[in-house]
Amino acid sequence: MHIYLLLSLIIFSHGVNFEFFENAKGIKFFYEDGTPLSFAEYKIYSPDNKVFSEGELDKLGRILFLPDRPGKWKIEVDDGMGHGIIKEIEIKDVKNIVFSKSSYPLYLKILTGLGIIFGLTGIIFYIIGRKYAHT
Amino acid sequence: MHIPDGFLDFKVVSGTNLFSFLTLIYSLKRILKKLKPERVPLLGISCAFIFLIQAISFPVPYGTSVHLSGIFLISLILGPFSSFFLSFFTLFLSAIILGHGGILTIGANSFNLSFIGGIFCFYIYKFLEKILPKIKYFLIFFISFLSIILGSIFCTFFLSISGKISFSKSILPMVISHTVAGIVEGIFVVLTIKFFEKVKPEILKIEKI
Repeated sequence: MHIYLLLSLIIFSHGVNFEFFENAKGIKFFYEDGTPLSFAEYKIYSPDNKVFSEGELDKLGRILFLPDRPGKWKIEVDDGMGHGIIKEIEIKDVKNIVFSKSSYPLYLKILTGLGIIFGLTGIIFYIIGRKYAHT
Repeated sequence: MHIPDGFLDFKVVSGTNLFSFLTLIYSLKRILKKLKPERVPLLGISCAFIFLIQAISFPVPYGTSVHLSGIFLISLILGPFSSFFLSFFTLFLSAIILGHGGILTIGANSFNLSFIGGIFCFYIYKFLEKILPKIKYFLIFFISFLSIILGSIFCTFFLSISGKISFSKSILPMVISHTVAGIVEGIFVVLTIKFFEKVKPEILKIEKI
């Protein structure tokens, strides 16, 4: 309490006011092994495609996202090493922000990929095998 | 090293895609010319291997995460153009299923991973192997390491000429973080080749396409 009072005095003395947000939504960016994108650069674009906010994620790969109006917002995160994400978020109500999560876990995605590869291999094997059987 | 969509500008996207698609067409021609039924399962298993090994990443210094490539290993077993084709297809699958890398940036990603690791490093290795046959395993280790480092350097280069990052600021963290991946890749490739030589040496005698 004393610290808050002291802080208020310092800030008011420079003619700047502040307020705390209690409903701020946080986003965490991490690699698939769980490592956070520490200090990766980010840019948030408003629905009119103008930069709304930019900076670095914190050590744990987090930012606070505080859109001021509904629409399609875009978050671009780049760790400067070839990894990154551009995520579009549809904001319907600025008071009730809901973020969609990836619907499938990594192992299911890997199994899907392997299924496609082995399926295609089987089809090609069948076609080439038939071609050779006839010749 | 899987650059997502929207991170490269038009000139880099068009240039790298043109180069990679021409290389892909040439690779496909070479593969189909000599494709026999017994080679098809090997191509499938190798493709699954590249897809799997690139999907699993591990944390390294500088707060990033890297993965092995396996492309140079496949080029040593099946040949450079087979390796390029499989790697290109894997990058496409990774983009649409795993979200690793983009569809439009597939040219740049396949240049960094498939062309550098599969074709360029294969011919560098073949050239050096003739001159220095006594240090074969060291060469395999070194070229595997080089395939990762060169890929990371080109990745930084493409991102920097697209105005996303500063080359001078990013190159050191990029190379240092991929040094770990390069060393692990080098050890892995050498151990795999030694394993095949001991257990199934005929795998290494397959025609290199």
